[in-house]
Amino acid sequence: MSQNLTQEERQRRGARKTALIVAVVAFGIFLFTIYSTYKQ
Amino acid sequence: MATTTSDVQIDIDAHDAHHGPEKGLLRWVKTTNHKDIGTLYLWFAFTMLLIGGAMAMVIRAELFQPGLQLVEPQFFNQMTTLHGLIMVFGAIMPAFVGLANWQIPLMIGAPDMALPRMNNWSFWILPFAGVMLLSTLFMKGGGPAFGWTFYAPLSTTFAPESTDFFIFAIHMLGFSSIMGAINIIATVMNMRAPDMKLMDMPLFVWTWLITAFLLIAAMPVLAGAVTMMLTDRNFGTSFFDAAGGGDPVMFQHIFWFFGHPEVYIMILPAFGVISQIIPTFARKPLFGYSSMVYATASIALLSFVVWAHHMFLTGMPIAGQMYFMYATIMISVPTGVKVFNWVTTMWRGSLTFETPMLWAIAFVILFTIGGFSGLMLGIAPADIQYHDTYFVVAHFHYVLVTGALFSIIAAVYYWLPKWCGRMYNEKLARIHFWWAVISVNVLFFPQHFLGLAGMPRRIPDYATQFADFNMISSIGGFAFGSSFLLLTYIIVSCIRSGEPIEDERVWESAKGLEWTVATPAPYHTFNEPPQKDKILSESSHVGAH
Ligand code: HEM
Ligand SMILES: [Cu+2]
Repeated sequence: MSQNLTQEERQRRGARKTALIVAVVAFGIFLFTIYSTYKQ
Repeated sequence: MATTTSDVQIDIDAHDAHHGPEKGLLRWVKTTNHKDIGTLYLWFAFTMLLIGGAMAMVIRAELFQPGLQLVEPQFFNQMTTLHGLIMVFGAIMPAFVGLANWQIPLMIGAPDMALPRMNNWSFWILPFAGVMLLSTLFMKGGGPAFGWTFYAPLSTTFAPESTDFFIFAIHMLGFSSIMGAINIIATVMNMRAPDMKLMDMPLFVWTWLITAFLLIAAMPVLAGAVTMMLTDRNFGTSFFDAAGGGDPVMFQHIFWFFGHPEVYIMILPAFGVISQIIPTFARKPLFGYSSMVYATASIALLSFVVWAHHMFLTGMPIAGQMYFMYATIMISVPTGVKVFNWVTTMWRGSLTFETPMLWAIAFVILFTIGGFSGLMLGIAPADIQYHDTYFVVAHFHYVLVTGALFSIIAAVYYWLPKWCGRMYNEKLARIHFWWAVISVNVLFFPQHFLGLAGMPRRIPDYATQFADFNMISSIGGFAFGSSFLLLTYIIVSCIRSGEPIEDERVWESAKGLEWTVATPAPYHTFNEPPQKDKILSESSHVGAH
């Protein structure tokens, strides 16, 4: 049981990292859309 | 967590024993539980479906006969615009996110979504965005009337004041979708039962994972488009204004770079649902599991390189037309793989035709019709004739109504008994199915003929030679619309007083981890991840056996 818990906590940490990376990518795409239109 | 393990141990046990849902309305406001949030999403989507459906009834009533009968042309255009926006952003997308919330943790053996509090936010943004979008109807100059594709300059230079509220609503809806997608990616990548490999995942999870990546790539582009509209309208930029050196056709490129992946956002989870249901009622493992995964991934990749098939008539060079034509037609290869696999799964299976299976089979047939008309539209020279006619309207309603929406209805008939522990009235459900499937074809099939004969889309009035098919279509429309009253009754009476079910496995040959938890699904599930042998024996595809 206690092992499962650390397991879950490990998973949640990984999940937060994934979420952060994905969010940064999304924001980058947003900025790039506007920037590339501006450049046109 | 800084607590020692023994503290945590006690904590967890107490938690499990006493922590059901909170009482009262606040439960729904504060909830971080994936099942509660899934329920919220589904009811929200259903409400929006009824509102968008009411608008469709206005449209079909006006088109019942030639001439202007019921509404002003300007209001008619607001109805078509809001109908499209509400169905896409308010009904179909939230319904799939609702299904994802309920099912993904159950199907991968996770206790909840990875980021439960963000999950609460993703949902609660939606009602505000929805109300804001609807409120534009009551503003000076009326709501947006430029079509769900909101091409500039109609949506910039010539749009009503309420457009800024429309832009804000789209920003919020997009924000909600992106947060939902982040959550799904993090959940599937990080929260799976430790013994579940990616290629052990059920197809609904796979298709949603790929859809979430599509959302991450496509929604920010939409956000960029509406942001530039906002600055063009209010801050003196001219991204899309030719008078200031901008380019209105650029708007269309940006919109469709979002828009085409968007249509796959609305259909890939549907493919997932159908791939869950058909094996259950064919009593055979899904044929070609891994080819399904690869087909889904290739459709997703291809969906980013075909966008200008919506723009064949904007005056693009022949080479561009050729490229977009061939790229578009290539999508039918992986799509064909999927249809082949569903049919082959049924081939020589011990088929039974419970309600979810009826909807799934209707999906396979009718979605394929929509795919074929899509192929026709993808042929650049032919599209000169078809573009902006009712043929396009027929096409996207076959893929979106008999495709995406039918799969959502199938999913609800499939999983609702698991969620609420009660069975719906199967006899009524069958009546509902036949009522809907006949009327939807009466509604949309004649629109192919109207389009081929040259009736333009987005008009409140038409030449008399189109009268007969329009009347037939409207009659089908009213019949299809009313079928949702029956659906409402079936669902509500199932939840309140349906026959209780005790079996964990509601459908005797269903496979998947969701069928190993109690019925109705308890508030907390998989506090301990399932073991490897269970994961493998519950997997519905050949590879794992
Ligand atoms: C075999 C796959 C498909 C092909 C080849 C295809 C092709 C096309 C083409 C060429 C058009 C533009 C027609 C025109 O404006 O002249 C179009 C429109 C459209 N398609 Fe598809 N399509 C396919 C599948 C889908 C799917 C799966 C969906 C959604 C679930 C979808 C939704 C739409 C929508 C909403 C429009 C109309 C957009 C608008 O102008 O408002 N299509 N399709
Ligand atoms: Cu497209």
